[in-house]
Amino acid sequence: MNRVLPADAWRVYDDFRTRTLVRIPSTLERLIYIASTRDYNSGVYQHEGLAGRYGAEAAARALEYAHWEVFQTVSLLSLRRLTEELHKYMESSREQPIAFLNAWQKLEPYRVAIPLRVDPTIAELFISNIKIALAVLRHRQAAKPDRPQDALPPPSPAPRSPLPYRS
Amino acid sequence: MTEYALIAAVAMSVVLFVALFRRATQDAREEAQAGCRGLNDSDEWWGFGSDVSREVLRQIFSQDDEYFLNEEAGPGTKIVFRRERKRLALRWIERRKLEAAAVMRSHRQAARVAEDLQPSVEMKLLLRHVKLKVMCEALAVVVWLAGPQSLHGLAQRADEISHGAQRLRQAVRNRGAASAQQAQ
Repeated sequence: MNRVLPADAWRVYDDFRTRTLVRIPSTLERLIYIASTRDYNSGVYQHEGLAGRYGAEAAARALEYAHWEVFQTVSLLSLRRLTEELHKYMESSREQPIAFLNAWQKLEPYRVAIPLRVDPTIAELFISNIKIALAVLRHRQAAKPDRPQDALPPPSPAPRSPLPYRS
Repeated sequence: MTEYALIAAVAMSVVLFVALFRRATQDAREEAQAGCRGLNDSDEWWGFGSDVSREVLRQIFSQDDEYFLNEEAGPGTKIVFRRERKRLALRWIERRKLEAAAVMRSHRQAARVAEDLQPSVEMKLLLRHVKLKVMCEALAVVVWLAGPQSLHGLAQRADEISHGAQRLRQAVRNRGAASAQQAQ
């Protein structure tokens, strides 16, 4: 594990893991959080708190490594575990389940959670498993007895994130 | 007359089978090549350890997830699951074939200029390559016909042969480099 990370980046990674990642309850949420620190245009990871303490380059390398590691963990979850993780994430997003499932199935936002440098087979397995897990959740949702719409909370006016404050 | 019709029908079926199979594997090969090419353009990807590689293989070729879907999902989801797993398995097989071909290609190039070729090692490498190709073709036919579930053992064997061929190729390369150094 150490071989792909220089010593300075390893310290950053350790800090990030023990101070930030442990506060995020599920691996899927961790994955989405780390992916959100990556710039969509350049693919470079940015984290103000870590960069201020250790330097931008070491912080970016540590985040890239953490991303790769968490991605590996999520990709290797069984479909049962992944479906439960996705269910928890859906609930923590506080969106209406149907709206969440529609967005995830149509927009496929989970694709941005794939690290840049990853074995293509595992990336394909991840996408495939998420698609199936979403289908299972939709099936569960359809099997639930109808609830009156007015009993549900109103839709959120702005995106809400369950993710913790970035240090 | 009936016999001719029967023979013609069998021949047509065989041609149709081969055409459809080639089409399916051709798609998987193009997707596998595109996947590797896209990642090579950016950078070398970070490889996973052999434990992770085995786990990926187990997920693609095992029945565990299907048991879960039998309890939890509707028929539509199960159809999508089987299609997805078949596609993943065919891509995995094509990737192994591409890797094996790349190993042999680079070995042939090195062998043309090598001065210390060992026939036994060359034969061993060739046999592994042929064995891997045969296994991959057989695996692809069965996956295409019946899906990858319950073929985990065969896929694992193909994976081991593929890694064995790569290790042997690496050993030959290291030996060549060492003898070149000694000659200097």
